Amino acid sequence: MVQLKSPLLRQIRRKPLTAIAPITLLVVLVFLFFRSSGSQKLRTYSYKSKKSGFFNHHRDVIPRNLPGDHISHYDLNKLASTPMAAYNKERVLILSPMSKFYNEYWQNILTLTYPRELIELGFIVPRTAEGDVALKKLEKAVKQVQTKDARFAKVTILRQDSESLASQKEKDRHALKVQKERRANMALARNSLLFTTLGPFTSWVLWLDSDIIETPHSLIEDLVSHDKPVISANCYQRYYDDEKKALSIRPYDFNNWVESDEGLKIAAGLEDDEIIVEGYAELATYRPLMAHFYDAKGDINTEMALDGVGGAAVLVKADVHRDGAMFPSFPFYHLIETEGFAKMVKRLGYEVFGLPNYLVFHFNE
Amino acid sequence: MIADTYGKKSDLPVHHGKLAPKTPSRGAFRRLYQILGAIATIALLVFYFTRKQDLPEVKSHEVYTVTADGVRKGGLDGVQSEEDLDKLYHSTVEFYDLNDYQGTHDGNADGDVVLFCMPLRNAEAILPTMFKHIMNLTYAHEQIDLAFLVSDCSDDDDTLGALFDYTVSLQAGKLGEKLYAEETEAKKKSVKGSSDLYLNYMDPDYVERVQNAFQPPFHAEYSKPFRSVQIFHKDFGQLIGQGFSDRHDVKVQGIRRKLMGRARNWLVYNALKPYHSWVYWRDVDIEMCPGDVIQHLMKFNIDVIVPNVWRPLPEFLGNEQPYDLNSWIESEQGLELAKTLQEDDVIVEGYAEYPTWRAHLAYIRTKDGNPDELIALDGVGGVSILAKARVFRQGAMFPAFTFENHAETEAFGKLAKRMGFIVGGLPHYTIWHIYEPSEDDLQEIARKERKRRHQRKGKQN
Repeated sequence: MVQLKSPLLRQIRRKPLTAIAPITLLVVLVFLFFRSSGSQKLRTYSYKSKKSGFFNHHRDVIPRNLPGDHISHYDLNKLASTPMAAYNKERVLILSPMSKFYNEYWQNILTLTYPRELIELGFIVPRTAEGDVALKKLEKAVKQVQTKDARFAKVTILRQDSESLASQKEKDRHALKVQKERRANMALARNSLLFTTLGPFTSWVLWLDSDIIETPHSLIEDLVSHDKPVISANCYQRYYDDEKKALSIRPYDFNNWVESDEGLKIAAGLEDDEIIVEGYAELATYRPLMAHFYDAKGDINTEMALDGVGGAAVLVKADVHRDGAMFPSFPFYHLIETEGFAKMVKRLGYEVFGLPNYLVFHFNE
Repeated sequence: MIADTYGKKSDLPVHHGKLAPKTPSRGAFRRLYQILGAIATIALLVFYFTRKQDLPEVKSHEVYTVTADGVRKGGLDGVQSEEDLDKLYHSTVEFYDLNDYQGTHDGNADGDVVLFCMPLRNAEAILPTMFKHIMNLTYAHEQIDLAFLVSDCSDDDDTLGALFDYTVSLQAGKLGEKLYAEETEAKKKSVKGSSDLYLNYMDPDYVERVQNAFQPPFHAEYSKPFRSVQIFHKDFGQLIGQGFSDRHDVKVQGIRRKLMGRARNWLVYNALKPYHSWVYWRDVDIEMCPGDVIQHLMKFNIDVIVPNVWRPLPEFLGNEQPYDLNSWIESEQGLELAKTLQEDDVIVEGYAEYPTWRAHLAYIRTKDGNPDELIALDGVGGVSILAKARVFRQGAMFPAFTFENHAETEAFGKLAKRMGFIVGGLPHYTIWHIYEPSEDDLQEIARKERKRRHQRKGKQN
């Protein structure tokens, strides 16, 4: 017989059943510690047919989220747009026409400090291969956020129905003769997005281009505090300055401007269907551009009155849009898209403002 | 083996040393049990203080999540399965491909959803007629979203309250009976020959047609509820009266039309959704209109289309008259006139101050003309417009500012054309506006009535 050294092993060998107690205790402890929670399948009660997939073409004639007899009443007299927006629980609709999905843009949206349950998002993607890629990335990003606790109140994604230009690369985009067509197309996208997502609860509409990758976290609160019908931030771009060997910034959006005599003179001489666009040597308008009014040491709350705005980061009171201010896709006083919108806002009797020292940053390719 | 037994033979186990009672766990298991005991104690303490309430014990409560889609067990933190994540995702995220909602010539069969828009102001009296027209629509009710905007009503008018009552009955399928009951009661109470005196002077055929218009049997889906009803209430601060003479003074037309444009924009922009294919604008004061008007206008499948709008008149004024002069074809003189005006001047049709010499849809009508004849227009009236939702999605609206020297619906027609949409009208397909006697008409009727009674008295004597 082998003499086992350890008395423990000897005892187990002699009386195997005595080992059951400690082993059972160990097993119970392990079981209690490591049993995973919530692994049961939840039984769900469903009275509706399940919709599956993203590109679901099934015509859903049953309205969602409506009371039993499908009657809703909205007292629009009570809807207001005040500088104390978050305190008054005013809803903001952030709209972004999206031809390319930038992850930094999305991360920036997630860092905004305005209460998320008061923010609705709206996106419209063009009908191109590039648009489809952006759509997939957008869907993935939205799913990450909307299936957790800190959700946005609503996200609407639209696929545009008009023709759109195939190429959106920066160099092609800026050729002057293509500008009119491209901006007309953008105007249609903006209108389609705006008028289908604007609802009776919306107090503010923030137009934020999909290639704005950096804004202050309190963007909405800051813009709202000025209490203006239309207010635009200054859009710059970060870049690496090879001469100075350091990171620097330069103006990017030149569509925020004040009308000049020269500009009016040029407009008077144009045909009915011609437009003026900023930033091209062929059409020297000598308009004061808000992009050049940036003062690094100035007060970020400085306001200036504008006649034209760009679409980079513009906050509009929803009532201005409801009165009919839209983005003309045709020459409107020889202006188009966002600049035409500013003109239409003024025709409706509202004032347009800009913040020259308040910067948001555009993507650098 | 036999141990030392002091010489005796024995097979009992004999131990060296003294005989002592057996001490339990004499070193063999003691260490093990000590270690296990320590682990168990620590584990139980940790367990007790850090674990969540998922011990398999008797639950004191159940957690349910209630959404518009139904009731399910479990809270939001418990959401793990694919199905639940999908539901949660779809509860706040919506995707629409706008190409699916372009509208077809047979929207009724193809499932097109129509947004029915109607601005209302001081309309309490005419609401019953209006609702009969709405119920009489033969376009599938489950594909029509009703949207009303009530604005700037005077103190003695309760349009909003009446609208609530009627829509609740409408959606419960009981409005037909309710209106019939109200009418019979009104007939019992009414004093004959006061406000409807003018009816005696109208064409009797027409009066009879109106009275028989909403008699049973109705079409099969008369009482069917609608897809949804949205009622918006917004006061813009209008300072102009709604009586016939007030409305139609040329000086206030410009201001009035811009305010109406604003109201229309508020209505459509709040109610429009991505899944609407068509928008049907309707004025409240229509007396006679076919129930299949939407299908008839839709079959031409153009962007903006209007029917002809006439109104009946007393016999001494000619029985009938073109009513809506806002649907017209632009003329050279009209364009020339616009050039002479200021930026904010609004041209209004039918007034001597603005001679435009335009061809009006209303005057092109012939009584037995082909109701399917379509002509291109520049300006449109707002009484009954069927437009593709695409037109509004892409930015066409009712300008509340002067656009090409027009405002509201005519400017809408011009704007739609400018944006490349097709705008047309049906000259021989007519709907009938109600007749509201003007001050002059009432005086004339009063005079005739006095004469008639005087004659009757004369006969009696």
